[in-house]
Parts: sequence; structure tokens; C-alpha cells
Amino acid sequence: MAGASSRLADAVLRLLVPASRREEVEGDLLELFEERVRTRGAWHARVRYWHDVGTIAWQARTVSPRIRPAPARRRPPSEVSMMLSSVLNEVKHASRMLARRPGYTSVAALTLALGIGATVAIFTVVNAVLLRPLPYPDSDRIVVISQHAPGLNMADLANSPGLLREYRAQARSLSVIGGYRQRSVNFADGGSADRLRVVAITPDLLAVLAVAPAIGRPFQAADSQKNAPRVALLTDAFWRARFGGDAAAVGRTIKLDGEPAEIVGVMPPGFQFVDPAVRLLVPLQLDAASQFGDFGMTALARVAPSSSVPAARREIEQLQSRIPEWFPDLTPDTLAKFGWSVTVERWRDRMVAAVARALWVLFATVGFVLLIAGTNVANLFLVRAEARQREIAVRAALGAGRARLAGVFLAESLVLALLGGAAGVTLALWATRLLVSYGPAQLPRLHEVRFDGRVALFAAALTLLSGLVLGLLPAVHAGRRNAAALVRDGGRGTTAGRARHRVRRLLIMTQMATAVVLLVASGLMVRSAARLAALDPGFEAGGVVTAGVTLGRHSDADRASAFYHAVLAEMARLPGVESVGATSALPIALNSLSGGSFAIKSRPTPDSALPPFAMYTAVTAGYFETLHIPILGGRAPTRADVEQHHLVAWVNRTMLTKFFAGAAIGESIKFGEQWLDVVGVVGDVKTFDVREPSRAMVYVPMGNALVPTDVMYAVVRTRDGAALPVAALRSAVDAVDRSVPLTAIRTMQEIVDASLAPTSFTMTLLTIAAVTALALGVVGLYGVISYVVSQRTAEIGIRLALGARRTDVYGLVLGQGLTVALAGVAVGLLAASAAARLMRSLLFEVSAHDPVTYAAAAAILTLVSLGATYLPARRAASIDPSAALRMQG
Amino acid sequence: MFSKREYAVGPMKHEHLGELEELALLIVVGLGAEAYGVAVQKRLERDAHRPIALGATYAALERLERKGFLRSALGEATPQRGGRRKRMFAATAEGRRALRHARRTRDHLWRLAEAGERD
Repeated sequence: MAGASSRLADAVLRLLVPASRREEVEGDLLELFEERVRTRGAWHARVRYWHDVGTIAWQARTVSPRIRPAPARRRPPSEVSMMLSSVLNEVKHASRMLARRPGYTSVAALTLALGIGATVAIFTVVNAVLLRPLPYPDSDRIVVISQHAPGLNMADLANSPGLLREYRAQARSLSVIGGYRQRSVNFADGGSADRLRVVAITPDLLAVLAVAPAIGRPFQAADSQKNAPRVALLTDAFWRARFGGDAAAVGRTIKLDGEPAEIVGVMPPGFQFVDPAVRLLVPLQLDAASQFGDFGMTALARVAPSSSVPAARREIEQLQSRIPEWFPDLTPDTLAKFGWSVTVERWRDRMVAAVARALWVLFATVGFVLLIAGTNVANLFLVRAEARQREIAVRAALGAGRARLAGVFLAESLVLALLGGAAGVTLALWATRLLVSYGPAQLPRLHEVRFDGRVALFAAALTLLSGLVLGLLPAVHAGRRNAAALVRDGGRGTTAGRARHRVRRLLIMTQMATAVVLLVASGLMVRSAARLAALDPGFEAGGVVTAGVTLGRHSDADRASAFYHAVLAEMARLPGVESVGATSALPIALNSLSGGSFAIKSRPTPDSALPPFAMYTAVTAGYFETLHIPILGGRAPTRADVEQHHLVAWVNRTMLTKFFAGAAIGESIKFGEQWLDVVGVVGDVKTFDVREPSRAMVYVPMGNALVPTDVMYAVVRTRDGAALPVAALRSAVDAVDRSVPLTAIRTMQEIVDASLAPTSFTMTLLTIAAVTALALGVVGLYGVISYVVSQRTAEIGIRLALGARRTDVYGLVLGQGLTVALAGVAVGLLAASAAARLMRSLLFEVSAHDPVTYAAAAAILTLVSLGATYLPARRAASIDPSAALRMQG
Repeated sequence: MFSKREYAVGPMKHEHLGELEELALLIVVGLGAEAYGVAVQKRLERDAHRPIALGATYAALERLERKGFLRSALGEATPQRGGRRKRMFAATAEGRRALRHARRTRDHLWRLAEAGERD
């Protein structure tokens, strides 16, 4: 039924209406639906559609002989069918009982739905990100090999072509080894230029992934030779979008960074590598005789069928000792100084390592919410069970066995759980969609999140389990009771038995404790986020827009600089612009920031020590001014520095204190082959991440040979933070050169926020979970105390008649509620301090045992419990003793 | 214990007409060659002021058919409703007889009622 309504409704129809009648029924439904959309709107039409589907399903099951032919001959019912029909009867009875109490049913089902929905939603993400294999054949055999050299200030070096060559020659446990680098290229196919994300791969990388092009040929060894003719492989999506899915595209020539390249093939649909935004694969051109250096290439390998990941790890670790053999200029001593090491990990583990902890914590959190929701429903259920004591007693007296009596509750709880599960799954589908669209971009594999068979199985198991636990609770309870006594007094004792209340109190205490754990967890995240937000990134983000201007490879540095200066001049002329500048790498944004070791003229490094190391970036005049980065000493960069190739540099405060003992101006430092005079000191800005301390940093004028000018990031500050339309920025570039692409237009604030996103994402979800838990807990406490008060009406009436004061009654009820709540708080605080240890890596400058957070959580819970107990206490205190006693009579 | 009761399936003589059945049957007669599920349902809603679900309409039509007052057959495919055919209904002679009988009964009872009011 195309577009008429949901696929679910169609499935219901397929299930219940026989094929012979489906056509006419579907036709009628479609006709009515379309007419109702026209006359009454889509919403009304959909509601009526569902209503019709429901009535047809009902009619199909109950009335229509045309649909359900009578059995040919009656046979005596078998044991199984007897049992089945008795179960069906129970379910029918339970459904009727639930339908008769819509308030109770909807509250219970919705509470369960909340718990099941949240758990299923997070499980959907956990499943896609942590559990599901990567989308390549036998992907758990793909490992990533990374070299580490903390001594060089480079924790993760990735790998180098030279090492890869040796590993290929030596490693027996790996069947094939490949490498890749991510990059961007300017792509032109006739018309205007686009900036595209591409991956440069070694030809054998496709063998590591075990994927071949759907059309054309894979890369061959010859493609990766230096000066080989350029070739490219298209992804399926790009092929369809740009070439209309035309097979003749293979063999065509496109322009990448201004140079011709032949399309040799198209990857199969669904193929993704590294990032869904990647459009092209190009060969990584390597120097056959490459030496040890040139790190930064990610190395992937496929473990040989005869071997295993641990065996491969051992072999590669052992090969490290042979590096000095392969590269004679390296001694074991130098390697030791580097702190040289290697890791071989499953690729999937590496990919998700950063988020695994946060996701498992979230999963545990929603598990807690489910526990609390379940507890609430269990309480409601117990109350209901007590109200039904009479019915149970009668059934028992008529000879129903224990199992049969247990079945009564089990049927009801299963029906409830199914209702809750169905609503929960709907909720989860919706929440997952929300998570995917608002989740942080840094969350790996987010685009793979979807509802699959495993999630469905998980949801079904969760629903069934909730139903079973819920149903067995009162069944165990009811089973123990003496039926005869119940029939006699109709279950109307004056005071509820101790045992009965003990279960309920225990449930409430668990709830309170769980709520405390979640409050503490979310409190710690809120405090972390507040600390993060209060951090000074070293610049003023407000009112600054950034845009990447990509000239691409350019042989003439002077002409490139002139181009960028012209673009900046155009941008400065835009209305509302206060100042402009440009840099080769924005702070925190993680774009192409390079680092290297350097020498200081006045203090040469002894041969035995490692040389000092700093990150460097190129800037134009106006850059520091635009970002409000203070110039602490010396002068600011000028246009003349760029145009006259001044060999000058600025250092940041970290560098000043680390390497120059507070006085850097006038010193000379050597990067590569050039000596640079330090002419200024600027304030620190956060380098990679707002959480980390700033790195030692050197700024050189744009055009310096140290930093290529492929891409520069313009920073534009507007007066009073006025918004700057993208079109205006585009027009500024167009005024100079229409063919130059403009990329990554973001405000500086967005860059800072993106860096905080994983924390704020976790914080938001935890806070939602904690608030839900608190609300559910309070409702539970209120419900139970109210119920206890209503059960004790007679007792309280007698107490009042015997001279108890109203304040005594208040004390009685409040005391009862608070005892439970405080016990829960105490248990919760202990549990939280144990659980918070697991969160340590998610926190920022907040101790896992932060006393403020713990105290606040305890205070909030106590206050809220007081509120939840106060209302029933007031009702108890206002009991009219004579009325209460008469009621007893 | 109770004895098992068997329900006869198929047309019986002097079948009783329920009120909804009576309305549905009358509408089928009125619609002539255009009588199918949706048309009957719409007339029930608009002209008989009976908000009714499609499933309930089917149930009524099916009961009428079982009682032998209606017969049905699948119609021709048309470009409407995605090319799906309609089940067309027509009153049998017995159905028309039952309607006339119901009307006579009603008229008679009305006359008695009006006579009673005048007393």
C-alpha cells in the first residue's frame, strides 16, 4: 500500500487476511485513505486507517467463516492444545482485565515503554558501533599496525612506507599489508571545481579489505610508482551522482588538483572506507627506496588464515628489534630514546576505542532506568495483585493449582510487557533517529546505526524478560498466601502484614539507590562540562567566521600569497567586517597542523639528548588580532613579512617558558634548513583539543617554505558578532578567482563546540536518564506511601480516636517514607562511588568522588522524597476517625 | 453437564434482520451496480448517520451474505485504487423480500404507535 500508511499495518493485514481477500480489502482501505487525506487531512486519515485495519483484523479472527474455515472434523483436544487454550484463555482474561482499567494499564505500559525504549535505543547504537563487524568480509582479521614514539612528542606515528616494505618482506602471520592516507583534492570534470575527500591507498589495501571494484579494475602495483599516470576509483554514490551511473565513465579522464587522471573503476554499492564522505580512491604513490621516515600513513593488514591476531602482534613486536638492521642510521639507543613501540590491534577495536567507554556507561545507565521503570510497574502490580486477592482466593478454593494461579499474573504481566515493548520499540526507533542526527560527528560508525535483527531480538528478549520477572513477583507472593484465610476475611485486615510491605520497601529502596547513582553520574558529567566550558581556549571565538580557501598545489609561492592577500582584502571590504586574517591551521579544528624538531642557536642540543619539538603553522597579518590572541611581546606579523620573505617567527607562551626560560625575542631557531629570528611572543591557544594543555607552537609568515599554501583558513571577525552570509564569503573569493573552492565554513564557536561535543552528548543523555529516573522514583515512592496510608486508614483512625495528635500522624507517615528514602540514598551513594570509578576517563578536572556532586544528589533525592511523602502524610493527618472506623464496620 | 450446541452455517428460512443489517441491505439495493464495501460504508456514515469502521461494514455484509440476502463477486479492475478490484454486492430475491417484510412490520408498528398516542 504505497504511501497510504505504515508498513506495519500492511504486515498486520498480510498476517490476518487471507490472500484471496487481500486485494479487495487493500483497495477499499486505499480508497478510503486517499479520500480522507483529501477531506480531513493526513493525520485523521492515518488514525482512521489504523482503526479500520484493527476492526478488519478483529473481524477476520472472530467472525468471518470465509476467512477462517471450520475444522473438518472435531478431534478430542490433545494435552498440548488444552494447555494452549488455557493459556489463551488466561491471556484473553488478562487483556479484558487490563482493558477495563485503562488508567492503570496505560501508566504501567508507558512506564515500561520508557525503560525498554531507552534501553533499546542505546543498544541500537552499541550494536552498530561496538558489536557489529565492519562491512568487509571476515573483517575481524583486519588489524591496524601503529608505531609510537612518545620521546618525540608523537604518541601515534601511524606508519611509514619503509617499515611497511620490511613488514611485507618479513611478517609470516600477515597475508597482506596495505596503507592509506586521507586527503582532499580539487576535482574538476568540465565545469566548476569541487573540493573532494579522497583516500590515497596502496594497491594491496583493497586486498586487505577483500573488496574489488564492481566495474573496471583495481589498482595495480604500477599505479603507485612515482610518476605513473594518475588513476582513480569512484565510489558508487559519487559515480551515480556525477556520472549518472553510466558504465562509460570508466576510462574517462577527470582533473584532480589540475592534473588529468583516468577513472579505472567503480567500487560496489555500499562500499565505504574511513568516512562516508569519501568520494574517490587514488593510489598512494610511494618511493620504492623510501627510508625509515615519512610517518603518518595508516597501515592495515589482514591476518593470515593460519594465524591469529595475538600471534601477529607477537611477530610484529619481535620484528621491532630488527629495525636497526633495516635502517642502518637508527641505533637501538636512538629507538630507546624515542620510547619506540608498536601496537597491533583489531581495526574495529581501534576505531571505537575512544567512545567504547562512554557508550557502555550510557548503556548501563539506561539499564538502570529500565530497572527503575520495572520497579515502579512491579509496585503497581503488587498493589493490583492485592486488590485481586479475593478473585485469587476464589480461584484457589475452586481447585486452581499454584501454577494456574501464577499463570493469572503471568498472563497479565506478559500482556502489559508486550504493550510496553511495542510502545518502547516505537520510542526507540524515534530516539535512534534523533541520536543519529544530533550525535557528535566524532562518534565513529554513526552512519551505520540502524535497527537490525539483533536489535529486534534484544527488544523481544527484554520485553519477555520484563514480563516474566514482573509476573513471577506477585505470583511468588500470592502462592505463599493462605487462600482459606483470604476468603474468610476478604483480604481486609486492619494493618498490612509486615512481609507484604517489606518487598515493596525493598523495591522503593532499590529505586532510590538507582536514582542516586544516575544523579551522581549525570552530576559529574555536568560539572565536567561546566569546567570544559569555562576553559579559556586562548582566543575569542564569538563573532568569528572561518572558511577554507583552497588554491591547491601551486608551484609559485609568491603568486599563491598574492592570491590569498587579494581574497582577504575582498573579505575585509564586506559590510560589517571588523578584521580579517588567515592561517594554515585553525586551533582545535585538527586541520593539517604539522610539527617538527628544531634547534636553538644560543643553546645547542647535546648529541645525547632529543632535539626540542614544536608544532608550526603559517599566518598572515591580522590573524592574531582577529582571534584576539594577545601579543605578549615584540611585534605583530605584517604583510611585508610575507611579501619580502622575512625569516621571522613568533612563539607562544608555552614555548617561551619551556625552551627559552622567559626571554625568546632576538633568539634564532632552525627548522629544516632555515634559521628564523624570533620577533614576537603570543598568548597560548589550545592546539588539538580544549582538554589538553597548549603545545609549544611556532608561527611563521605565510609563504615560508616550512608550510605549504594549498589551503589557508580565513578568519573574519564581524562587528557586534553580526552574521556573515556564506554567499558574501563566496563572492569575495569569486571576485579574485571563480574556480577556487571554498570549504568548511564554520564559526569559531562551532569549532569549539565540536571539540566539546562528545562530553556534552554524554552529559545530555545522562542528564535525561537521571531526570527520568528521579521522576519515576518519586512517582514510585508517592504511590507506595499513598497506598500504605490508604491501607492504614483504619489504624490511623483508631490512633486518632485514642488521642494521637495530627503531628504524630505526620511523623508516622513521613518517618516511614523517609526511612526508606534515606536507606536508598545511603546505598545509592555507596554504589555511585563504586560505579563512578568506571567513568573516570569521561570526566574532566572533576574527581570521581567529587563531594559536591554526591552531596547535591543526596540532597535533591531527600528533598524530593520529602515532597512525595508529604502529600499522603497530609491526607493521613486529615482522616476523620469516626468515618474511618465506620468504614471498617 | 451442558450438551454441545451446534450452529448451523448457511441460509436459514425466516432469518432475522438486525438493524445494521437492514440498513446495509437497503443501501446495497439503493446503490445498485455501485455497491461495494467503501460505498456502503460511506452511505452508512453520511446518510444513515452511523459512524462505522470498515471492518464492521464487512462483518454486516458478510452476515447478510451468509443469510442468503446478498450475493457478491469480484468486479473488474479499474485504474483507481492502484488497480485493485472491488467486491461488488447485490441483493438476492430473498433479501428484497426480507426488506419489504421489515418495512411492512415497521409501518404496522408505527400505525399502532400513532394510534396509541392518540388515545
